[in-house]
Amino acid sequence: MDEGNREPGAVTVDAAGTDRVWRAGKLPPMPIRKLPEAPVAAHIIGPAMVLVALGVGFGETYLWPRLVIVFGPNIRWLFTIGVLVQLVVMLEMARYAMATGESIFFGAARVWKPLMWMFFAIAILVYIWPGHISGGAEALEELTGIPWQASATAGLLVIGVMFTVVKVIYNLIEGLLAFLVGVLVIGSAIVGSIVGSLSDLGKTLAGTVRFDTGIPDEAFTAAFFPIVVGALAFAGPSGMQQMWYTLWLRDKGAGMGVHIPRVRGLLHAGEEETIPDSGSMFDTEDPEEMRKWQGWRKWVAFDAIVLFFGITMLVTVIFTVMALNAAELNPDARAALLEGDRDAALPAMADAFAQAAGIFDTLFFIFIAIVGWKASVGLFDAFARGQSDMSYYFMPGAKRFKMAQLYSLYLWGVIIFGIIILNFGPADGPTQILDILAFLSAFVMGAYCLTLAVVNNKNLPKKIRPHPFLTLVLVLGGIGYLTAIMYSVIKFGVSDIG
Amino acid sequence: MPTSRAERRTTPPPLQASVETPWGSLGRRQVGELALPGVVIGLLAGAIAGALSAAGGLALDVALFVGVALAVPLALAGAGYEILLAKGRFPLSVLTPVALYWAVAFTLARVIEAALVQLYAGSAAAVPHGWLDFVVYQALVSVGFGIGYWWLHENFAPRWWFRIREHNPVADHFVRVQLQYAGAAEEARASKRQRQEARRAKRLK
Repeated sequence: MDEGNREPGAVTVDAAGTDRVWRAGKLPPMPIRKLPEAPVAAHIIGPAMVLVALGVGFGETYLWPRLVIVFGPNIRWLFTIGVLVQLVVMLEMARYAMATGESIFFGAARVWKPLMWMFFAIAILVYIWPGHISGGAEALEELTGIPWQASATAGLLVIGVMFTVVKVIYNLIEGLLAFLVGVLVIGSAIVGSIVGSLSDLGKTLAGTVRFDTGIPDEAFTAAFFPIVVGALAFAGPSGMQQMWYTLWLRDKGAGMGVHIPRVRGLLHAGEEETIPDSGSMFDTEDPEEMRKWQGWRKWVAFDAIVLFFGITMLVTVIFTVMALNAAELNPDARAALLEGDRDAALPAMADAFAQAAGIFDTLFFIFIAIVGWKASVGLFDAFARGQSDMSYYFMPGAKRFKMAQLYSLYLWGVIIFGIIILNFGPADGPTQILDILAFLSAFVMGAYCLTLAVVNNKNLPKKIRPHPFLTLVLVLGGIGYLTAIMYSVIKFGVSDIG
Repeated sequence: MPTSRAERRTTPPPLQASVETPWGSLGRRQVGELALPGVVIGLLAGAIAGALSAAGGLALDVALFVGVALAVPLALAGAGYEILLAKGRFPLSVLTPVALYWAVAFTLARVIEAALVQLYAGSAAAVPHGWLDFVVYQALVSVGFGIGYWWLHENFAPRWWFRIREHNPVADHFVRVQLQYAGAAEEARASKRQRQEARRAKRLK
């Protein structure tokens, strides 16, 4: 994997000596350049790690355990479906990013520019609210007594300074999140090994693959259907995380991403290399290039299947085992949740863990604090990365600035806004628009599934387009997300899916 | 896509990691260095269990006992894995052997810890469903620990090998195997730099 300074590789020429290009849409054509060699098998862990770090969050540790407490482990098949769809999305996002070095936002703009601006606007609406860090900070307050506003403000400032002083931002993100995810996985395994039992594990695993159990009638209520939709959307990476994955892949130098310079911290903006006007394409008629492409596909498949799918399933299985244990020890929790007390799950699970071994209420809050902070680290980087990418390429006059400067503008913008909101306003967003925000974050998932299906079938050369089955999964996934959220709004009038 | 006479450099296929390592030439200190990543991860796992026990209100001596009773066997098992890796018994970076190794080692460590805590604290809470249930369950959950171990090992052990490679031939071997790809990229960059410098020199003449 290329870790040094990056310059775009040479453009190949045709018999007449002119540069060869691949045309996709009305935007600048992609020059044909050489595809780099793929890394040896798993020796280099890819950006799936960052996606796992972001994706394994409240969905796995809170939303799904809550559903299991209420409906039992047989509802878990929905989680399996959700993660499988996300697995396909991840592999397809990687296909576009590795083949072109462009983000999915650029790919969407090649299809229809307003589509990209829609994602730009949704990102601002959904992600400027610092709700994710306040959740973790509240858990920290439970543990230490430090007021959550103080720790959340400090957390935001630390993130801003960190991303400003480092030379290559991705390297910092990767190292930090690798450690946190490692601790989370090992910690989950140890807790699961102490709290659970063989019978709980058996029920959880059976529920994960029992596709014949359907959805309980109790779930089709105004109180619970939106929660089921939310849990489905939060199975694996939620919101725009999969779209940002294309930007991390590029910074990692995966496939044609090697021809695009990496995002640097503001203090190192002067060292930024020249950014080409578009991504590039490789020669899909060249068997040698196709061999290298297969190597990259294999590399990303390992990343997706073992790291993303494996770790997501593992963490959620362990947390479900813990939830089953909680439900056994604290039957009141189920009753409270059924009566509509949404906040009963967290203390109920913590209480149940405390009854099991006297220590797990603390553990639970520590996990939630870690999950909250790591989500913030990744989300702020991702937000600034995505918005600066779209601004640089498509906002008139933005190319006067360096990418690092645009990145910092969005990063500090969201941090300063976050600090103001944390201390003087509602962290999740104004109550009146909460429903709209929740609706948008599920809506965007349906929208990117459909966009991705079009982008990969329209913008890529025939030889590297997705198999029709994978396109079908994307289309059905997109329709599924959109139908579920629309049904929730039309039938029950609720889109608050948290 | 149009065809062309574009220059096509043949890139060698990726090299496979060799299982032959210069293990025989190592001294005791060098073996200790190689075992360190496994020991640290084992101690980290024990520290997580111990710290949470203490924070959760268990008596300090019991919490400490829980931590040590889990940390020591896990650290020893971690060292064992690293030594087998250094001897070339396990391939580098492959997940399956790690998971199989920990299916046995983690289960054993948990059995030892549960038995010791039962003896020390006099409580049967560690194995509420009986030993058979306990052992089978631990073996299954060990997959999670194995993946976590592999994850931390893949992300951090190579950095340690890089630091000790000067005086540790096995670490140097691992670094060389892992940097095969990076090495190829470095060569390509170096030759590009040379070409650019040659062009610049030609222009100045």
